[in-house]
Amino acid sequence: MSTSQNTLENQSARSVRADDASASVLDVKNLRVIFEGDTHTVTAVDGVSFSVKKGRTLAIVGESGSGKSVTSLAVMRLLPEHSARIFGSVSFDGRQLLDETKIGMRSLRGNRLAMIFQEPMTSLNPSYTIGEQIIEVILRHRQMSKKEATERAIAMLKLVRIPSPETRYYQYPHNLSGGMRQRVMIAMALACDPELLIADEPTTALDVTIQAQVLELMRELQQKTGTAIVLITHDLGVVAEACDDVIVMYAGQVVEQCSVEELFTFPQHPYTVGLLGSLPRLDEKRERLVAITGTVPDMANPPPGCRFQARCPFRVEECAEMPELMEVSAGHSSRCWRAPMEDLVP
Amino acid sequence: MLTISETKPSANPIANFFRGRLWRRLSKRKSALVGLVVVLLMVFVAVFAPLLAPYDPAAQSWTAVRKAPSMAHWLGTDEAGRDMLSRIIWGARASLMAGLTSVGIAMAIGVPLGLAAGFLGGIVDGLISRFTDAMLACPFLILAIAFAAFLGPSLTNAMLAIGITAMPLFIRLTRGQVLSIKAEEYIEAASAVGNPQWRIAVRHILPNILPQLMVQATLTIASAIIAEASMSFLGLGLQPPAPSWGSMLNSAQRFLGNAPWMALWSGMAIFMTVLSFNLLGDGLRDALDPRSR
Repeated sequence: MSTSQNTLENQSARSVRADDASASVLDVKNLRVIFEGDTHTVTAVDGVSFSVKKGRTLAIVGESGSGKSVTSLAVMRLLPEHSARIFGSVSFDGRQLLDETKIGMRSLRGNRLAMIFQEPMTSLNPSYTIGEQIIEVILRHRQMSKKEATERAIAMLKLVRIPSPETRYYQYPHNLSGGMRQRVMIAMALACDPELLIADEPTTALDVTIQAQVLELMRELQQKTGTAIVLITHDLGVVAEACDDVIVMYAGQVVEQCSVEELFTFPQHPYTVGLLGSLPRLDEKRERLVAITGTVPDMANPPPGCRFQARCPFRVEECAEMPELMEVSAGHSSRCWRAPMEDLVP
Repeated sequence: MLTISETKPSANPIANFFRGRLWRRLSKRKSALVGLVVVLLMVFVAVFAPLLAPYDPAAQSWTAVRKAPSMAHWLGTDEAGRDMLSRIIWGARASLMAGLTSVGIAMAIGVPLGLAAGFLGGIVDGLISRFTDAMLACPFLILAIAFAAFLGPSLTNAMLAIGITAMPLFIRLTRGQVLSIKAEEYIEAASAVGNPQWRIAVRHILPNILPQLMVQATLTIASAIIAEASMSFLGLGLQPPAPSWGSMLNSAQRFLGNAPWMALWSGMAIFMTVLSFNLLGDGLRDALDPRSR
């Protein structure tokens, strides 16, 4: 990625700032999500732990079906109650979200916990103007008159750099382009100054130039407000551009956890290495991109031992047994028997 | 940096007000406008029937039986010498009342039930849907007639019967629409900003199914008018001598050969009203769709 060079510089600049950041905003410990179907149960998230500090961005990376979206929905308690069972601990600013009442969760959602969805084209209600949709969130959580809320909404639209916000306020979602709608979603999510923003693939549906704008906007707003961000993505380019820390998920488990810098320089899990190897690069001449062979295991019936072993080029005998997530260096953990390894650099 | 939207934004917020926008879009559609004008005309006629009718609609005159249209009786007279124009004017009351009231009843019960079925799902949905299936299994008019016969012949009972019979249409439509809207991402987004479930159903789902409901309502008004006419034709609706287009058709059928105007006017009145409601319904469907421009 052409941006990775200056991104790494940004990283170090930001880690200085992050040092004075206090305790974690979100602390997830041993999160397990089990979906119960009629015939079988699926453990979609299996013992995931992570924490996000104020003003930091954590990336959750993984391919489709690795459990990254389910993790975020579990944190927001937005999974269907009749089919999903959630275990573990999700602590947000000292409150146990999994023990919160429905009413308690409602007062948090949109207020202190906000979420941005993947599809800006379908995440806004076509029957209301964007202004009505933003003030709904504000009026729901803040003691404000409608006039004040309107002013706040227009200020938010201005903040996310929507041109002529006073006019856009009265327009319907279909009057706006995809990039603008995603900005409206961001404005809506940030309208109540949340401590935590979960962005589920916020840029996936946008084209590349708009992607960069949206990521830059999120980073800029984060610097202003100190919001902690959990960014869910399958795009390592986005990770390099926008994040501080990373967890890599595979088949419902965290397989590697480290800073963004470490991820790109000393990856310590074969899956991460595979992901990095499948990225196009400008600084190396390659005939073809390297794909990871095989597919994600069937989660209804996961194989014993390491879940990546069937696709792993570094497989050894120990892999028949499930490795723990072990620290390989300070702040860097990997779920691999062979870590730490020197020769895993892609 | 900036993305320019293809539509010119309106500077005046009032112009974007729901009714204003709806009117602007509706007025672009000629057929819908024609429908609207005829419907409004019918409403006007029904409301001001006592002032507009030249004669008492029930006054018989044995010197003017089955007279062809003339200056004295513009639309002619019927078999008891009653003025057809006055009867058509008064008949508009019964027909419009029957159409609006019965659809009002059907929606008042059907929409909440459909919303509950689609939104709550599970056993609630099972019960409501099976009940709906059972009712829809019977032909509309037969069921309405059965209800009306059970309740006894009167306009109120006919409207009630039509309303109950039309209700499953609204349950089914509402449920189906709710199911499709419920899966939209903006509904998930609405829970993600802390909305309670009832509010999501009423504020976020209902407005998105209103266009379909409006269209169904106008079309059902048309069928209800026909149903009322059929019931009056069969003697289950408005009772003679009070005029209703259906009962007028009923008596006219015996004189089709020598007094065809008797059937023509009441038939035309039914036809025009039903057609204009249908035109209005189609126009509303286009105008209310937020995606159409």
